[in-house]
Amino acid sequence: MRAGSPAASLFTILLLLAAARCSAPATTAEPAEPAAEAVRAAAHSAVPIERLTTTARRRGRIPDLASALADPDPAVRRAATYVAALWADDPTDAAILRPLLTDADAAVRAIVAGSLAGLGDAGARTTLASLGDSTDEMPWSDPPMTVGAFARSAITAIDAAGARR
Amino acid sequence: MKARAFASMIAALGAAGLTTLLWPVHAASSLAVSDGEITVVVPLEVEGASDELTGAWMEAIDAAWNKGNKGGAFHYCGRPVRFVPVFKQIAPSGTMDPGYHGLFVMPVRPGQYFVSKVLHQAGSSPTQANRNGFIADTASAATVAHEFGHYLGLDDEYLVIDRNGNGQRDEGDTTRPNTAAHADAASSLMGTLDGAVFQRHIDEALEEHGIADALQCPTEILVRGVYTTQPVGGCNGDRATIEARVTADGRNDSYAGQGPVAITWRALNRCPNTLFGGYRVAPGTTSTLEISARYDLRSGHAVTISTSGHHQSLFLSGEPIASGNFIQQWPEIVKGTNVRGTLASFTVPHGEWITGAVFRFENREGVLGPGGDMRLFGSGTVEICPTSSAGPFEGCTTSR
Repeated sequence: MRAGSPAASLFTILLLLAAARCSAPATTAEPAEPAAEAVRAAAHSAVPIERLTTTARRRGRIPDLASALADPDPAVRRAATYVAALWADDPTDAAILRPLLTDADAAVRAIVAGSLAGLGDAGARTTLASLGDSTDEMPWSDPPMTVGAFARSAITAIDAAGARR
Repeated sequence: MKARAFASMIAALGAAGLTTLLWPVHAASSLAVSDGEITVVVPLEVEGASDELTGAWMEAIDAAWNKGNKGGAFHYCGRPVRFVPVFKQIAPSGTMDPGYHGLFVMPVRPGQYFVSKVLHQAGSSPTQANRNGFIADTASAATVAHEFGHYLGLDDEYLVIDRNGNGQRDEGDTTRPNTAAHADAASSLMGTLDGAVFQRHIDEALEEHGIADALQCPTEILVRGVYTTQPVGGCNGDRATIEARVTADGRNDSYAGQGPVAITWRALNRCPNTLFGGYRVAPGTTSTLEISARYDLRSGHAVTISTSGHHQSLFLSGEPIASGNFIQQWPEIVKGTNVRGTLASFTVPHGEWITGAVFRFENREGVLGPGGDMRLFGSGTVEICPTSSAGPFEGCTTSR
């Protein structure tokens, strides 16, 4: 049976019908965007940073987080940004993350700006510098750290790395 | 990345639902006591770190925990305390060694934001259950030293102001030093990256590693006390109240049913730069540290509280100083039943640190024996070490 043939289509329909009769709950189906679902779940869990660390270390593709990065819930956006900023390593990633440089949440702006500035993005560096006086707190920081302190330390670290190269 | 090790850990995380992190129970960390020093060995199995990186981390840990007492070691019971991190690269197979805590290094580019974290099973000692930590390879020395504190069993010393009470650290939620638990939390390494290691951290870490057992101090008779502290740091009018509450009767019943023993420390300062938890007095200024003991001992026997002998010394930088230098007044004791009162005040010279004081409790009726010691750490930790059969408790114990 060849893929795309009428017989194959019929077979597929029969399979789908059979699956429907099994009536598996929708919630147990494999999510369309596992990474996005993972950060959504983490954002409102009791241990968000533990979950996000796990997701971040799995190393995925930033496009898989696109819906979460645009989520109207700031907690979800923060979570997605945290992971995406750690995954970012090329210009394609930067293009997806750059709109978040104007996010309403200073911490989101700082996280994105730090990551992109480290990739050489001049606009991101400007954003990072503009956050130097922010007294908002970085999410989940341990011990607590202000956005301003993070921004300043990020610039220092990027400059030091540049000097070494 | 050693995928197998990470995968097994992820599986553990998933199985635990991430809310109760159940790690394999082992006895990774250990403590050894000799006449010369107290050594705490913290074995760390590392994934993703070069020898250069672990070398830098060892220096960071050494600077904070072994040289954090004005460049020297902290002390406990007169012995210097040394913390020894032992780093080992994870096996190529990814199989984790149960004799080591886990430490997973996250590669992070300069500018990227990563929250280093050490996970542990609440209520478990580092000698009972291994920790697993995630630390960025770009982590600062202060971050590494802070996370090492978690490997020692210490908790964070800040609180999240949970505005909506949902139990989460939401956007806009802020934190503050947990001064209710530790008056000096705002300047503590476990509360802020700008902070320092204090003697009380050493006390607690050693306790987490079973120092009482190692020193053969039975603790089963005195139930740990509670204490409260009030306004933090600052200058005139600072005060902290420490309350040790005895809730168990001893094997000798002379003190049976006694009420709480409360000790109040009060610093009367005429200078800035004064901290509780260390009683730092700025050089060239005049300060008075007033220590008083309020007692409420209900007993069928006469009770004597005295400061005679060397037991009433204050401790400067962890070393006992002759009491005569500091004690201005310690009235002769009180006898009787259901007695109450206030005793003692000390003057502290300029530019000195006081990390603790020792009081002597004595029963002069000769019923119970020669008495014992009570040591108050500046942090608020109360260590009581009655001599054998001196009272309702035996051996050393401390409040938390």
